[in-house]
Amino acid sequence: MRQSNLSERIANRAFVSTLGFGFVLIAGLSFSMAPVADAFVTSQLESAAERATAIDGTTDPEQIIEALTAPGFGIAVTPLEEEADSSGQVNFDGNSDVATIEVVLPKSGVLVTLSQSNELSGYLGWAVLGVGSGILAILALAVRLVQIKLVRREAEPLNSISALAQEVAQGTRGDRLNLNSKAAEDLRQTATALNSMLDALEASENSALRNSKRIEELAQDVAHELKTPLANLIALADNGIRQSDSEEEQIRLSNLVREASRAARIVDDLTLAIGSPAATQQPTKAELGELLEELGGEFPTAVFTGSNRLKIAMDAGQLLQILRNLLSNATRYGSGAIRLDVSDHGDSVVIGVEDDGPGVAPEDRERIFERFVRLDYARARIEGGAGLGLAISRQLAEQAGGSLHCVNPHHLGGARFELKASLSE
Amino acid sequence: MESKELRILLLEDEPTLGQEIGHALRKDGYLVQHLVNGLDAQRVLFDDTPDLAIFDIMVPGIDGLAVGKQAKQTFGIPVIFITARNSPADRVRGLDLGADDYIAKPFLMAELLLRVRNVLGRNGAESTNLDIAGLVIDLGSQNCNFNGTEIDLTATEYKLLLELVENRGRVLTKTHLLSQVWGYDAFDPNLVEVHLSSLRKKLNQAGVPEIIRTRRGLGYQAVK
Repeated sequence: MRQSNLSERIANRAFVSTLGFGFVLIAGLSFSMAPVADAFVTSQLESAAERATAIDGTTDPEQIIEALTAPGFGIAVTPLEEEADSSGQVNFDGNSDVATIEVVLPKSGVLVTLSQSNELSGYLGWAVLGVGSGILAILALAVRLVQIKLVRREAEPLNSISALAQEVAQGTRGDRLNLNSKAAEDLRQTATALNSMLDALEASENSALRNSKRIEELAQDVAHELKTPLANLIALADNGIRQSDSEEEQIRLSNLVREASRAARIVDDLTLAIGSPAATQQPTKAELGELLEELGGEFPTAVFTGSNRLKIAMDAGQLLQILRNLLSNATRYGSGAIRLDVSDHGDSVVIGVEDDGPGVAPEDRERIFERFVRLDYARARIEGGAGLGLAISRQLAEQAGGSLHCVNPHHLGGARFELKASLSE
Repeated sequence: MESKELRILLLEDEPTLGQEIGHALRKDGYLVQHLVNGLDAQRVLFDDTPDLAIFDIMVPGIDGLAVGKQAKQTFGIPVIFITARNSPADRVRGLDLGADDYIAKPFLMAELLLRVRNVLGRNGAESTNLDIAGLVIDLGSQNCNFNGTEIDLTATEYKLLLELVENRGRVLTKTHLLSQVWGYDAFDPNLVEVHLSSLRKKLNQAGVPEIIRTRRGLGYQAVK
């Protein structure tokens, strides 16, 4: 169906109804034309009949005809056959479109029959209908044009209403409609209703944001408070191992460090999970080179290959978080060699992180992205498991329109993860 | 260890952590002054300039970032920040102030000591080389040479050698080496054997005398 706006629709209806109503009027007018034409013909014939009566006594039919001749008149002069009487009435013969009148001239001894064509009455009806319809069409078109302008002006506030609705949808807050007093009353009521709806929505949105911010802050504070004793525990046990000469004691303290580190990682994951959604609202460009430089310091055994002069359409902090998670998994599960390769695909980039560890069996490659999944490897029992890290990393990648998968290893034969993300201009 | 006598100002309000960091640093031969308040740290900067500052960011008084900025910009002291918050924004803020390094809680002492040595080496304060039977370990550049010939070691082999040499005379168990060189996520004691044997091979080829002994059933020992 063809799209049309409000002003066009209203104008089109006005156009059609003007046309319809006008046509009925014109048709009526054209029918009423017939009696008018008949009266005209009658008066013509009657005045000719009067003129004929005036020349009664003339005997020469030629002279009679000459005296009565007028354009459009048929004149017949016949001798009176017997005592004739004429009604002096005009006869309309319905079949022949001809009107006649008979006049008896007793002194001349003739019967004069005057006739005139009655076709005019038919033509006049059609002419009125034709010309009238033409004028009507032009008039209706003009009405339509004026109507469009008028309705458009009246409907102007609708544009502000839809503009505001779009702004709100795109995230603008705080704007309200302010229609001037000339606007139609029902539109002003609509605007007022919309304004109060926006007030209510924004108020509840603000309170939800305040709540989620409170929870986020609480989580950060709890994480900080939890990490302090964990850091203390790790430092105590770590120093203990460094000083102890008993392997039994060292093993016990190693386990303590491991458990405390595992708790610290869960705390990190938790703050990441709670604190991350807000950051995705405004994706900033991530300079890959800078991030890799920072990661290079944290993961000295990782080898970086491929282009690093790329800008990635993802929040820098979140990209760092994903890569750090992949690299620290590679450090934990591999035996030292880590490779991070970057391949530029024009509008997107694939960052691969690969280790030389036991790898992930194909049937487990999706499962490890579930929360708190632990896999048993033949070579090493992995304590702590994947935890939340991979699940959150994938979530962050997907929020930024990218993806994260575990795939076949290319280079080192261990686990390989590929992060796909868009490049920014 | 040899006469480093380098002075480190440690600002850490957590008593346990401060005590353990101080302990590890002193054991490595540094002179450590441990404070818990930012204002005290600021006073010390004016009185007696240390060679390195290790500042926790969240401390009473003035926060560690502010004192660290002063230490770096006014006195030119290298600074390592410690924090419990590991968010990228914090890291960037710390590094923007010109911090030389940044370490997030929790951390291992071996890692902190490594960073301390790197930062001091970069700033020219630590010029100490370790020398064992003619094998010279340059702590600043993390290179290793014997009679002027450089021995090409992997990062793991270097850390393994350093751990043994720094504790020379002491028998270090596989568990000790595993935790200090590979960290606590490593389980496989074979890692120690494999890397140690390749380290020994490289040292042998370079002509270094036997400096790492195997004490059967106990562990490994660098000769005194």
